[in-house]
Amino acid sequence: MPFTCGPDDLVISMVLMADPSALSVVRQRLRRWLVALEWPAREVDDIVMAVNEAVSNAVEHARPAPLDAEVRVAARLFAEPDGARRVMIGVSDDRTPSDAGFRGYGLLMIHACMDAVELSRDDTGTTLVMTSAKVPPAGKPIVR
Amino acid sequence: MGPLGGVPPEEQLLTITQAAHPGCAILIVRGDIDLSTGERLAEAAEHALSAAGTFPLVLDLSGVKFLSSSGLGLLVDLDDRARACGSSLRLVAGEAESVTRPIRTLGLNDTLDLYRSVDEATAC
Repeated sequence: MPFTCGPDDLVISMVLMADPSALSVVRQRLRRWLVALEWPAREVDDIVMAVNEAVSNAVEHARPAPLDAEVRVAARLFAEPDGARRVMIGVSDDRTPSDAGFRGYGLLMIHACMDAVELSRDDTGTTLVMTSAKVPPAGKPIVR
Repeated sequence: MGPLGGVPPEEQLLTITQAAHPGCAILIVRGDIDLSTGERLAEAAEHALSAAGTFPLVLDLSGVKFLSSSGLGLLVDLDDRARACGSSLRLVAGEAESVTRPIRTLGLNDTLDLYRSVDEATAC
């Protein structure tokens, strides 16, 4: 998909301890960022839901979490040639391929909330890259 | 804000209150149901369920702002548990899209017993 990269300030990134208490922090920060970008409400909910699931998965597998176990979340806004916008979000942790699976409904939820999901794992860790549904340029109403 | 600087304590993220009603047990749940708060909800619901006997357990989720898949898994487990002991689990979602949307997304609207209000859930 042809993407043009947005200005550098249209990114958000955070490094968190792989602990359940990180979840509400991620949700709150991501929501605030998306609202500032004038993202439509339902699509904000979808992105927050998907990222919460991805971080939950990393946290669950890190239990009991060693103090240095981290989850990294990074998101970037993209504009397509027609002006439609998407965000791409990466969630990564230090899990090796042997324990990088998903439990319960998490992955199903992520797929339902996102347009594209890609999981990559190697000896250094696991990364889930998610691409959101596209939304209109800021200031334009969404057509359903 | 919590002692960790900006991380809300779990007690603030989710509150569970018991309400009295003849013929059923009611728990009013407010806030976020996620991996950090789910265990507390599961314990409270489990406790209420064993106290309710064969009476239905009503969970008022109309004040729930966020419901993760781990929370949904918990509700499905609780629903199974309730049926197994001759009780039933009734969920009040009200107008809360934050509750109805994830339930619909995972296709659990046929599995879980949803009501629009506590009155409706306690009527039958």
